[in-house]
Amino acid sequence: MADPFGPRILIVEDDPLLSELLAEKLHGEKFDLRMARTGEEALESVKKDKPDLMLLDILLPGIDGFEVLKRVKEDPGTKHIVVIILSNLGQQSDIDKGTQLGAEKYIVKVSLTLSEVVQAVRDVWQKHAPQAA
Amino acid sequence: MGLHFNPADIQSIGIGLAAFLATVLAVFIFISARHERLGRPMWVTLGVASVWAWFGFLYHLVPGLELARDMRVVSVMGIVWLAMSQLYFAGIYLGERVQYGKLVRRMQLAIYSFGAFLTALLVADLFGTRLIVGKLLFPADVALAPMAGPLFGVLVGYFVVCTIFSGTLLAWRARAGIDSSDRNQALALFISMTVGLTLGGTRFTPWYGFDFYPLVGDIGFPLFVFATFYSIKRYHLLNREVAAAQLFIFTLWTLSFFRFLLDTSAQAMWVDGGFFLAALVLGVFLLRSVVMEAKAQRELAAVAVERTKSEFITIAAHQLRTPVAALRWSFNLLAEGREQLSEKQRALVDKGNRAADNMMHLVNDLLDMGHIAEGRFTYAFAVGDLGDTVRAEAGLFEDVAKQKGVALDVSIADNLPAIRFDANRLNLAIQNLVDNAVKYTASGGRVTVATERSGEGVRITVQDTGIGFTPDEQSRVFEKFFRGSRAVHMSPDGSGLGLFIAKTIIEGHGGRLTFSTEEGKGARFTISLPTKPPATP
Repeated sequence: MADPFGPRILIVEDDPLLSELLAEKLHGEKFDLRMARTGEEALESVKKDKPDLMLLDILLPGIDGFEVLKRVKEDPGTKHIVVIILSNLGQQSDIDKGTQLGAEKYIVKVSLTLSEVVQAVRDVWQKHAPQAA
Repeated sequence: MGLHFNPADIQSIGIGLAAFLATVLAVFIFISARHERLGRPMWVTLGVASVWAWFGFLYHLVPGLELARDMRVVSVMGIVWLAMSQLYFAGIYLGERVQYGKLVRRMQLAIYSFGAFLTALLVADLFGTRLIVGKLLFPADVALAPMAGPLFGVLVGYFVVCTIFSGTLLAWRARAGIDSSDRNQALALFISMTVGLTLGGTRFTPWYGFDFYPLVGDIGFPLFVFATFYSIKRYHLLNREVAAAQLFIFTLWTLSFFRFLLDTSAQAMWVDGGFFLAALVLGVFLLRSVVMEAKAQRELAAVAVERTKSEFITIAAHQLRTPVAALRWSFNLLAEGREQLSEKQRALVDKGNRAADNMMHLVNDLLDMGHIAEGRFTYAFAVGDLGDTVRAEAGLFEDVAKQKGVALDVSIADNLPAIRFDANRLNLAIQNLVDNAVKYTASGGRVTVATERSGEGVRITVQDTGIGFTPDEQSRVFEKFFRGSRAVHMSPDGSGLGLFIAKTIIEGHGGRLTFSTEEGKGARFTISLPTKPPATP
């Protein structure tokens, strides 16, 4: 099932259908997956599951994605986690904010196909894999 | 100066009232709407109508046969000008909806020239000839008109031709209305103006010695005034506050004016004349400020409506993004397993995929439009390789073009200057242009995308051999939501926002987006970009 040498990915997404579709696709690509629906769940999972990479939505119930990102990057124990923002907020100001807070990439969900999302995850991971390995 | 109610007195009262109405309306329109498209022909028309009416009124008032005849000559000049300016108004009103051809323009020019010729004859009449306005045999408080000169019939004919011609243009305008209310409004103007002028034309009969139902002619001017008011209302120049102020000021003017006219002593005339002048000047100021206030209010309200609309669009489009992404991704997954599907199911999945893609473009276009309207469509400029950008974006359409049988040529010059641009935004603009070019070019056609240096900047042209735009469509190409009728026929889905967004983006770079086209032969869009975009705040 999960490739022990692949990255562990935490998907933070509140829309059940979107997270199911993402999981389905990434699972087929042999990634080790964890899911979270809220900001709080995400932070908990970060501590517990120690993911290598995180696909983070911004608009979430409770703590929003920006806050999650900020806390992850502030904590020396978790700041190595590679974060890809996967949101439907596409304003330049949102993108700038995400990048400033330490996100590696900013993806507007609606504009990419599922394969393009996976490709983007691969590209980002390839850049960071040596450090994580 | 007592008024006795014989026919001449009735005529003088009628024409005096017309003079007063025409003047106040001309002043009102001049104050409130001289910068509007129809404002100028309206105040010019009313201005010449007041020349006709004031001198017609003076004809009855001044002492002596010679002077009275001179007044009437000038008044007749006003009639010639009224006929001309009526045509001027009709031409501009029609031009709102129809681009009429050279023939109409030449006819207009011919009519204006002949009007100038008649004016010259009338000036000669002032200096003693009697070609149009003949001799005045009886005092003006008895005679309704002087004798008709040998060419007076030509002037009547001219008036008839002008009335018919401008009536035709107004009727044409009514036919070309964009919806039923637009058509009805044009029809109301057509009827009231044409009937008004025709009835007013019956006032030529006294010149030949008989008076054709005086009342009929007198209805003419009120109808004409109705048309004017109607246009004022149609162009929303009239609102309650303005109308109330107008009524108050006009009443004040009328009362003080007639008080002045009916004064019996010179001393009283001085006092009342001064009062009238003061009321006139102050009234103009008051009207001006009320009109400006009303305009400002209207603009504020329009801005508020516009903001609500764009907020709604932004929110709705944003909310749609998540379900549209879910739809696209679902179809993506289904398409990946397409080998396991039946042929029918595969076709359905492909169609669904395309529909979901369309929906994504639509939602993104709406969101961009909302952001543009709200001033939140910002740019992040950086130096980049424009050649690569154009090649990559045009390259996205290679497959589609190939499938359609459309040749897609991309050429990039070697000597492009380094320029600063927002890659994401410019990509979208180029995509929109190439997408249209491929979409609206039939099989066997050609789309050429060329990027070259142009002075200090860069020029990108996207040329196709597609359907092009009709002359009627050309002025609306960059309008929000506008789509040409053949374009809709060829490709039913499309937001009609692509070119609007592209133009906004290019202008956001300090550049220009222009086009040339020939219906059925294709279109050529040209992006001109400066090396440096304007500084962003």
